[in-house]
Amino acid sequence: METAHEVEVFLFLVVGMLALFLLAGGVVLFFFVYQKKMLSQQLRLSEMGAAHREELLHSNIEQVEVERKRIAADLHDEVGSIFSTLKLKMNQLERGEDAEKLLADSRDIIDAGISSVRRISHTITPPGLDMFGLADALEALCDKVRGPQLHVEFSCPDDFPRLDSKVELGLYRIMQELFNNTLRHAAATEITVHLRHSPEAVTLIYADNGRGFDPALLQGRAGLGWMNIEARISQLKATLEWITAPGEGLKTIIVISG
Amino acid sequence: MAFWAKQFILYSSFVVLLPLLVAVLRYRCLTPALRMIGVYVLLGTFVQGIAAMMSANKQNNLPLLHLYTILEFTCFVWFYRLLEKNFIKNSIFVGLVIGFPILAILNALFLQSIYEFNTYARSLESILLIMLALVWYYRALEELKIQRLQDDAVFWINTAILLYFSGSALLFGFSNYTLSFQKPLKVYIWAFHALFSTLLYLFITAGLWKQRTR
Repeated sequence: METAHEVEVFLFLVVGMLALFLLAGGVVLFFFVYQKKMLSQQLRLSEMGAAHREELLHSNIEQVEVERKRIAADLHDEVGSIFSTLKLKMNQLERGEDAEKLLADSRDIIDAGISSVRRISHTITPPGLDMFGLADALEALCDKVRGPQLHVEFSCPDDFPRLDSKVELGLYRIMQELFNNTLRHAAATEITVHLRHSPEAVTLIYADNGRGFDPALLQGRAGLGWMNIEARISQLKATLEWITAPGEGLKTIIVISG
Repeated sequence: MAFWAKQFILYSSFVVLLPLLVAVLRYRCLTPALRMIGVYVLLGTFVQGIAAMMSANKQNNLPLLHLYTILEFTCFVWFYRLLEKNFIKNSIFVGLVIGFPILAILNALFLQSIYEFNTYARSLESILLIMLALVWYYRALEELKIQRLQDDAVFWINTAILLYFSGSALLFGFSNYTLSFQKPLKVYIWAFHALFSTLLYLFITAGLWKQRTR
């Protein structure tokens, strides 16, 4: 017959073995459930990413359409009407009316036409960007936005290098979009723009003292302008950080590495 | 009750033939890591056969266990090594496949006679293999490469290793003590080991079966 001590050790071993076995089973179960959960989360994130990319693509297409309509309207309203007026003047000249006055009027009309075409072409290709680079183009843009009610400060090191033309155009368009947002919605009185560079990265910091907003509101309800900025950021493989809160202005930090 | 437990111990030793059969039938589909599991199963079959013969001849078959522990450990470590090169660093792999056999041999020479259970070596083996199995789970969670766990061969085999060595670790540590048990208790306690061993081979069978293509 087995002794009480033997039974005690036997029970200890059985309980211990079963406990360790169940513990290991618990680990396997936890792993199984957790892995499934992580996978479904990963799937959901990748679906959200795909939806967001599709949204950006649509916003891009929409943006291009808006731009085309605007150019068509500019050409129709400005250049078209200039040519119509010029034709009228030519007809008057043909009928032998006051030639000297008509020629003077025609010259004025042609001058207006030239500046109109220049303005339209500048909205398509930013003036000076190709020739003088991002720093000068942004400074010119700041000068254009600056007004009696809006103080705009721009700072950039003198040795700021020329960047890839796609990067320069992308950052310029982002800046245009940021200015647009500030002018339309922020009611700001002050804007500061800092452009910096290091061997590792180019950094653009844009800040206004306007209304600011709750960043959560951008989730899924971003307007065309914000989506356009995001599309350009993704195209440039840059990182974008918003620092804002209602009543506390907006600070935007864009970093392009490498 | 003791009779049935004894019968279970006897017949459960034939379960090893199941993964052996699947390994032979599916040999061409098996990855190098799974082929190593096939080698382990073949080793298990041989050792169980020889142990049974020795036992039938009233010979002490525990010297076989000392050798088997080294070979079993090497097979499983090699299995993890063959899964992915980065799974076990070179230095750790060399340390394990050289260090463990040395310790096991030193144990057999100086600490525990080959005619008794090698509880130190067996416990150390269990701890190391449980750790490797847990590392595999951690890596699998980190990488999230496996879409359907139930269809993954390595998941089944890793689970087999974790469950078997977790369940048996305590018994391995107290094996020599169980020798002094009276017959029924000894049979019952080893019936538990037979249960874990059956699960090990069934899970390995499932793993080898799940491997459809190489």
